[in-house]
Amino acid sequence: MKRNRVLKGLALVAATSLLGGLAACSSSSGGDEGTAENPVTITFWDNNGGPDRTPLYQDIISKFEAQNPAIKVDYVGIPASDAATKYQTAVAGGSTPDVGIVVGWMASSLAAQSALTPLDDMLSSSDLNGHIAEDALTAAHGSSFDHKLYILPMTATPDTIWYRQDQFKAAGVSPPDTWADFYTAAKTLTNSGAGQYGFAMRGGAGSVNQLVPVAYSCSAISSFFDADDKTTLSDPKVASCLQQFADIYNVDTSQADVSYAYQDMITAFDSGKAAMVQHNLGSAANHVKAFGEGVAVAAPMPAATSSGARTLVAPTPEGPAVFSGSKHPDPAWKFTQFLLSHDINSQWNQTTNQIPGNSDSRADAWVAGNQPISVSIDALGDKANTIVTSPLYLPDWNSILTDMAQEWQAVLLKQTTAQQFASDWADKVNTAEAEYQTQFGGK
Amino acid sequence: MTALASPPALNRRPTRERAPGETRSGIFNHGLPVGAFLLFTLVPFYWMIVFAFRQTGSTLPLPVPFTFDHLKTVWTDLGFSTYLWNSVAVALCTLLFTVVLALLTGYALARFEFRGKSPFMVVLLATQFVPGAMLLIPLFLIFKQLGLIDNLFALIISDTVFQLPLCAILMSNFLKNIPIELEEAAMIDGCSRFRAFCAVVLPLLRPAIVAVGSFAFIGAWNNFLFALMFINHNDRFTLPIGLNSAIGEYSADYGALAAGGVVAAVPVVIVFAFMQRFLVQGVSAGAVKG
Repeated sequence: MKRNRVLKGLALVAATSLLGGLAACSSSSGGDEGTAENPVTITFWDNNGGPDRTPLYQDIISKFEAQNPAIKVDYVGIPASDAATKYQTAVAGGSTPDVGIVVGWMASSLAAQSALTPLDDMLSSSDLNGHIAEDALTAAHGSSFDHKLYILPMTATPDTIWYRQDQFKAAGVSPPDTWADFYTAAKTLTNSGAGQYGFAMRGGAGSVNQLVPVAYSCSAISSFFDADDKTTLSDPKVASCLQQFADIYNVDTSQADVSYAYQDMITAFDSGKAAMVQHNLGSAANHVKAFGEGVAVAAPMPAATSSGARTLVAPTPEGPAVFSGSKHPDPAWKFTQFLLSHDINSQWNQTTNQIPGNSDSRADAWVAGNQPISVSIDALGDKANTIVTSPLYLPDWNSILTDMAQEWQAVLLKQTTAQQFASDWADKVNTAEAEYQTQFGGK
Repeated sequence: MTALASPPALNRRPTRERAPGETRSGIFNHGLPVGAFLLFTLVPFYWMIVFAFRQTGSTLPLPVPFTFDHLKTVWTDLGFSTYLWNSVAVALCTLLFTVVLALLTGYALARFEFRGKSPFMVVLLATQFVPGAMLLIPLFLIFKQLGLIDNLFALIISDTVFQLPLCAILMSNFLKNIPIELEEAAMIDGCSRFRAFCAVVLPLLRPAIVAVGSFAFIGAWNNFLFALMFINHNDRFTLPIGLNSAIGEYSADYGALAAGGVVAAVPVVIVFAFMQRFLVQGVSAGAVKG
């Protein structure tokens, strides 16, 4: 009996010391109070940490710290595939960073949970006011549930048609300026017996994200919603365009395309098996690595007719957001502005081959010399073109795109029609929009 | 008529004598399946080594031209030197805590009858059906209240908690195989229960400890989700986070990914090559308990 009591006592002491030890360990890792003498440390989360971005941010941070010796930036690189989950867990646990790079489709959900600080007023009194491109600001406003500005659009990367200039010239085919040109080129450059195809289609993960620009550039419908707040995805013109697009599967594309995700599609293009691929500017570095400069050329999404006017979908914005849980909002805002400053924004986008959010950076010489970027900026800024904004503000938007991917494969395999697909897609969007209207009372 | 001359003996290939028990059907029954299994197991390792030590741009199926550049990149630029030590610390501490707690729990389950023992066993088993992702937010909140977010102890505790139920059940099965009379004999000779356990039972449990420790080590070494969610500083990340970081949104650095894989795999392969004998003994000892 006595021995039992002793054992119980020992167990209690062991448990207490273990917890005490752990608490002691934890206390040593917390606290970042600071003054000019004792620098403030802000935490910065990069949503795409890795060999490409980490060294770039580290260089930018060292420049910032040199200019602001009282502010230290603690960089955290998060793997791209898990960034959204990491942010959501941090919000749920109340442990968010001071600044984090947020993509447009993440912004609405984070802002709706009051995790992000509205930046409109801060921007209006900032030196950056008037130096951020209008299209980038519009896209950033459009990505939040209340259309306030929660992310400073550091970069944008619109969908384009990448094509092999050398193969087009050799075959005497016109670049894919219109959808008619696109289909002609796809057919002409296909030699299925030799394993050569006109187009690499994304039929697997992420396929439906790329159908939005296809649907609107081909149908030339100028708005995602009609006057009754119903999506125009149910318009017969959209179904017709999608059916035409699906019909080239396994004719001017390889049979394997039905399961192609991003990497497979890009590999098909970069290995020379396909003459065209639809993707944003993010894959530019892969094409240069595969062919060298100037072989793979970017064209804006094709026009519906030969009139020259295009209907383009606004690129998803991406940039730094100040989290509302930040204990150092002023240093956090200072760093956020630094990322959008002329030189830094130029450096970042030149390195990553994307469109700068800073309008002064867009006027830099390197932009004019970069064919994919200059072509995309021209297309977005051309007043003759119409820009359609997809409903990034819908909390369900991304999950709808993911859910519809399987049905799109059924369209490619001729198990269902594009009409049915477009109708189901529209139903989901209309339901999400109605829920959104009920919850937030309008855009 | 002349008889056909037999070929000179020198040209005949000497036939190897089969080892006792070795038959042609044995080669088909064992050799082929093992060969096929090894092919599937070793080919990914082969490619990992090729990519890790081959210069970017080379398409040869061998690490030619040979380079240490990818290894240097992950070790110095991507912080794998730090990630490796963090992973080692987390995995070893998890191993230690899991083995000690599994020994205590397993001993109680094997040697004592107490009220609620059966429901307790069911609960232990049931915990194995709860995916870690489901408990992410509750665990996050608990660790935050304990001040353990961004602390490697959060990983050690969560990994230990997730490994413990299965390890405790395994350990109790190992212990049931050891006759209680051995302990009783030691206690008659004057040992306390604890002394009898240490002197008599523990040496017999060596294969079991290796098996349980291995499960715990591997589980902690490979855990990605908890490490990503509970840690907020690059210098406290573990190897699985570093490996995932090599895959960007639009590109994957296969050289860095493979070199990171080598850093992550080599220490484990070396350790398990030495422990493999005990591991097999331990697993089979637990499996045959009637």
